[in-house]
Amino acid sequence: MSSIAHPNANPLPELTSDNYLNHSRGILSWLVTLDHKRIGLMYLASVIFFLILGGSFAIILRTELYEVGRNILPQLPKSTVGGDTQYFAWTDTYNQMFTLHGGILVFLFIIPAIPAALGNFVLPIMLGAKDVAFPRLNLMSYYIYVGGAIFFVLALVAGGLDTGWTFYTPYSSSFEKGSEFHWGVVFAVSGAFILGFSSILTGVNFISTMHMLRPPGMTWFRMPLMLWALYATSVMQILATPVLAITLMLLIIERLYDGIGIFDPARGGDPVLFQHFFWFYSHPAVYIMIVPGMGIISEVISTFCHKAIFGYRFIACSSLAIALVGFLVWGHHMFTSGQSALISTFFALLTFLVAIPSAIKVFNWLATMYKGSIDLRTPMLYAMLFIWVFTVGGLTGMFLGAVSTDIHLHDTYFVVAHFHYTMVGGTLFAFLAGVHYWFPKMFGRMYSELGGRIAWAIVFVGFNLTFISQFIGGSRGMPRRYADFGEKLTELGFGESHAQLFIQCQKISTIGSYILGIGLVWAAIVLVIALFKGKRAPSNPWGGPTLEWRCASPPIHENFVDTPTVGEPYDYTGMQYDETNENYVVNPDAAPAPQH
Amino acid sequence: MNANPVSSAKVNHTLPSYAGTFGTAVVIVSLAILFAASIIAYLVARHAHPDLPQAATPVGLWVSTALLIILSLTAHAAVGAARQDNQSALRTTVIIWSVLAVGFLVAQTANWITWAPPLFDRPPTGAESDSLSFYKMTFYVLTGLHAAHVVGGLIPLAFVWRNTMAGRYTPQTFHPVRNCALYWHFLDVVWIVMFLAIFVIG
Ligand code: HEM
Ligand SMILES: [Cu+2]
Repeated sequence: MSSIAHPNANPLPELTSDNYLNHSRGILSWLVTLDHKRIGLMYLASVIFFLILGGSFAIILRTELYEVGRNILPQLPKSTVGGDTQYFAWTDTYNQMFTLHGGILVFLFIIPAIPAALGNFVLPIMLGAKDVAFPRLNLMSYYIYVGGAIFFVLALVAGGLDTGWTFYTPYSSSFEKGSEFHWGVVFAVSGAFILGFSSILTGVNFISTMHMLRPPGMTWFRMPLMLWALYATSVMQILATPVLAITLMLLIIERLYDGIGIFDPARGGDPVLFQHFFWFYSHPAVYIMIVPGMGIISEVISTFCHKAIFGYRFIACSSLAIALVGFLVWGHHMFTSGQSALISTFFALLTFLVAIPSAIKVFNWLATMYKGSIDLRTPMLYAMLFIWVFTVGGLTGMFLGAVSTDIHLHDTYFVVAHFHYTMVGGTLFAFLAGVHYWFPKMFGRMYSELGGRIAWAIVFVGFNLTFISQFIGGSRGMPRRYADFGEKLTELGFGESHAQLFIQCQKISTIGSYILGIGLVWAAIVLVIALFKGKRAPSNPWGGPTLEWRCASPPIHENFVDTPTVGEPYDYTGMQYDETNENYVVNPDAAPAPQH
Repeated sequence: MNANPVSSAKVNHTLPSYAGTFGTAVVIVSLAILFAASIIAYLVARHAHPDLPQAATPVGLWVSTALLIILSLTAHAAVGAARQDNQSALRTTVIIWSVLAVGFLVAQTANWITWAPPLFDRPPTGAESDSLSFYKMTFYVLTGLHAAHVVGGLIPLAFVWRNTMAGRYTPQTFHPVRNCALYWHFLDVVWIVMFLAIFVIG
């Protein structure tokens, strides 16, 4: 790659020239838009709102855990009998808060964050299409999401619930049954149910788009890896989510009607059946969360190493492999639920199997970086953080997947740390990588590289501090979902040294979470400033090889003026740096890509 | 792999004519999982109560089953008529199709009512009413789930009706009729499987 002052570089068009952001005006033109880019941005705003909400709950929870005993959680009023107000215990408030924290972040942030928000924005552009296959359906999915979100907020208003994000029976079938707080569970479960349909319809749309709207020349194995990841995710969404839907529906009905129980043991139901159904969805769901993140990482690593991704087909196929094998491992969440040893053994074996495609990706990313000229911009820093953190998360999954160690680790902070390493360290960091990476494309402005890097460094320190301490405590048996680590621990049979260790771990974790919070707020501030004051972004500021970097920043309403020429993915031949516009351009005289 | 770049046709958003059919098929796959899971849940719950007596099949269910099978055949005929540009046959079949669809819902409502000592108001008590309530519960859940999808199916059917009456379907543009028929065939199959699961196997 060489750098040039491009002889006939046109100056960048003004931001006021026609693009998708100003193509039509007025709030209504956004609310009824069929443009995938605008729908993507509306999703983005919504998921970030819920990230902030769920994140605030996390900070409150961690503050509560900082000192032994009650710190800040209030006792919420329960009912008034003859002028006497009765209160929930503050520990009940704790339970309700971690339930809402988990429920909101899983169902309203993590699951839609990458596919529905970023995916909606980039998928058609990366494919070389004008929009998704069914734009009306796309808008409908968004409003279904909003509907589900409203139900979640109603649950909050109606007094919450304390079941944990998994809605396990008998918690969910018995919580406050018959009391005036009866509706919390029903609303939250209905919210998750409705969100499921949004997720399914997005999946249907993406699959159809990739089958129907590939432009001439875009063969399956020329699709950028982000698209493969979104394809695999969509397959999981349409095959797994219906099972969640029916499970939640039965739960709602059981909750409302006092007939024979389906899941409630008090009424002859089977709570383990609920767990089977729930995890049959929710294990694939953890891959619905991570696989699109892996897609972003593949793009970012290739771009910032200026090098074709190593093992393209392996990465593409490993997404599909994860999607398929991911359906066969749900029992690893139920090793302690009275499952037979034989079945547990099978689930453990299959669990190890599913780690292979994840590892393939990690090795391919590392091989891509090897001898690349790595450009340490903010998205790349997040991508590297992702690799490290996801590897830790995946490897600790192995300990949880092995029956003998899991029986010790189940329901401890080790599990909490594991899934935060994979979900925050995996999905959230991939999301941040993606937001920084596509920010110039979305808004036509550059963010401050220095500001972004500093935020990244704070996030790095804060995140690891928060969750490594949980691994340490968890591996010694520190139980999860406890509001207080005071005297109760010795009552439970933990020795004094363990109790002290746990208290220290909680403290460190809380300090880490504050640092993490500061880092995330910092990153947000950097981006918000860029939104208004950022330097004008060229069409290809990073030297990205995929199609979205060949349309304007921000793209026009139709994405491309002419159908783009589709060649090999990750082809860097002839890419040159144009210093005039700080842009990468393809020199048309360069030799064509080698054929294979 | 062939690296010949193909370029510079104006970008347009014309979907291939079978895109709707493809989308319908993907939705059907997803719904099939929904119904399969619900039936499995029923069978597992049923298995946990082996002592419960066999459900008696309300006669009305045979009626609705028959309606749905005839509906499926009519829908098939409608697609054939549209494909051959036989407008009058298309009109007749779409009318019959719609009448049967509404008829099915009416029959199901009747079934619901004949089965309905107010289920949600008066929780039954005692072992004997337990078994009754179990059947009623599964009956309402499963048929209700199905009926909700039948109601959903009326929306595309209404579109097909409107465009048929306006004579808009030609052998080139008949795909919406086919997509709609596909969905209704699916509802038919689901109904039969459900029927077998509740009243023959269960
Ligand atoms: C390499 C792959 C992975 C393996 C082998 C693995 C294994 C496991 C196992 C065995 C458990 C159950 C632990 C227990 O409850 O005792 C578990 C829990 C969990 N994992 Fe993973 N995991 C992997 C990757 C992921 C990823 C990528 C995510 C999400 C993005 C994730 C999210 C979760 C969650 C949310 C839970 C716990 C849910 C709860 O009980 O509340 N895991 N994992
Ligand atoms: Cu799992």
